Amino acid sequence: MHIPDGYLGPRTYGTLFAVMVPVWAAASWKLNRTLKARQVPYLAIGAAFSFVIMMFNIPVVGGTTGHAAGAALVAILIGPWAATISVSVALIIQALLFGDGGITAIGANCFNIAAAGSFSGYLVYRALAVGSAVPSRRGWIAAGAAAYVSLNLSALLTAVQLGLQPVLEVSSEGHPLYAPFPLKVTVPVMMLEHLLLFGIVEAFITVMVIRYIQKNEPELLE
Amino acid sequence: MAKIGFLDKTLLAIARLGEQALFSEQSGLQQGLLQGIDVRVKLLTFAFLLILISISRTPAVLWVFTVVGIVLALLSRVPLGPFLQRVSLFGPVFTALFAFPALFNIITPGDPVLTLFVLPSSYSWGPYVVPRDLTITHQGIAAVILIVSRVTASVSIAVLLTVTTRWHDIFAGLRALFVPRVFVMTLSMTYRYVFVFLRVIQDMYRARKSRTIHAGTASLERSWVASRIGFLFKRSTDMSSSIYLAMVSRGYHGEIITVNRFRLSAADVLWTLGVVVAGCAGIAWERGVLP
Repeated sequence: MHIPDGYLGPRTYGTLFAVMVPVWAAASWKLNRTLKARQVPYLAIGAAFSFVIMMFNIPVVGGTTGHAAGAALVAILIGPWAATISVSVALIIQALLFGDGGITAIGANCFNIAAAGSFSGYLVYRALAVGSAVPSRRGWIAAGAAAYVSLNLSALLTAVQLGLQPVLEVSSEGHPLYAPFPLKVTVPVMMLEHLLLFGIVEAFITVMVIRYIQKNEPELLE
Repeated sequence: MAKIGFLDKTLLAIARLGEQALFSEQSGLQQGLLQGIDVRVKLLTFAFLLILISISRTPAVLWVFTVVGIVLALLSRVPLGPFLQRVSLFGPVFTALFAFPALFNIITPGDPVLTLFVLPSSYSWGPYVVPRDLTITHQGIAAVILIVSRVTASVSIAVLLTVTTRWHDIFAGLRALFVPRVFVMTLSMTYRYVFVFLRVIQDMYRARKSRTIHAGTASLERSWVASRIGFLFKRSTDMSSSIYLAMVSRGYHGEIITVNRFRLSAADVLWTLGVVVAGCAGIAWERGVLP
């Protein structure tokens, strides 16, 4: 889902950078007040955890494997503001040091995956799990729904940004300058695979991790 | 029964990441052209180049950027084989596959270049139209060539930055460029702990693999992976407290003090002038401002 360099035009990636700067600033301000000097190690470890979640391959069907993106899981565990910064830091390291996701698209990827993914996941989890006991069925069902909604929202935002390119950025000869597929192609293609496959894998892994934590480390969810 | 391929896949992914990081560290230590440029200057000029690539409108200019990237890699003593392999995998190969359907008039309507087949009539379902003639269009070819060229040029410049700058320097450069220190310190600590965590995961997977004589059911294996993610989170929260205490015991109280040893040299000024003049001239020529 990481958008590479060259797929988005300057108006799109510039706008999304401009949107993310105040989000990062607000998150830092908020965390500085609550975490104080603990902020740096707490966020760095959260970011390293977000980075490595994707490395865990899990058997899906037959010989195939899948992995989680983890934004909702991280948001449930450390809160949406810390998750926004932690997942952003993981995405920035991937872009700057591992060439995974574009450097010009850092704003877009952080908006779609870190900010929208963390907040939507956290809000769904809170809405469904509010008032539930810590080892409870409602808790893990809420986590699964949160992961499913979060990943699909990130996919939808990515599809919309890619699909807007042939409308926003066209050459004088009438051909697209960046990603060439219109919304009517990007949205169904992205959403079909995320609604039917990746979203389910994401929800499944999140549920299993939350169930493990409910059973073995319940204090982490309180 | 599950297969144990998922264990190998994770171990292989960790090994690849480590190999990639090591390659960047080694080529970042070479005594080449770009390794000698001040990291602040390098970050700014590479950002400038990436923006120029993103506003270019003709493939020829993008090809020039790609060739410049390859020449700079050579001058910076970056091993050309692995460099080209990374550029071509991310750039032409992946993007060409992604953009291929845009060649056809179903996606990019326009002037036909080649008609593949003719249906008895056109069909439409809501916003989707299958035209009577399925053709490759002039506009489709132009769009595909443009995006493949743009992604290749961007990737060659982005990979060049990665493989000629050590990670520590990238973060030091960001700090010098007014990125908040808290953010840069978080980035830098994250990078270190990613490798600590990768080692932990590697150990868990290796230990598991070495004890496996027969795979369990898929659901058992899935629970095992989920338990390892949960365990890693528990371990990471413990680690974060220990690291905080270790920092406090060494005098840290939330204020970050850093030592910057940056000094611009003549080479940095020349490099900046070269990039700005050549880049602007390229775009001006493309837009018809220069003859």
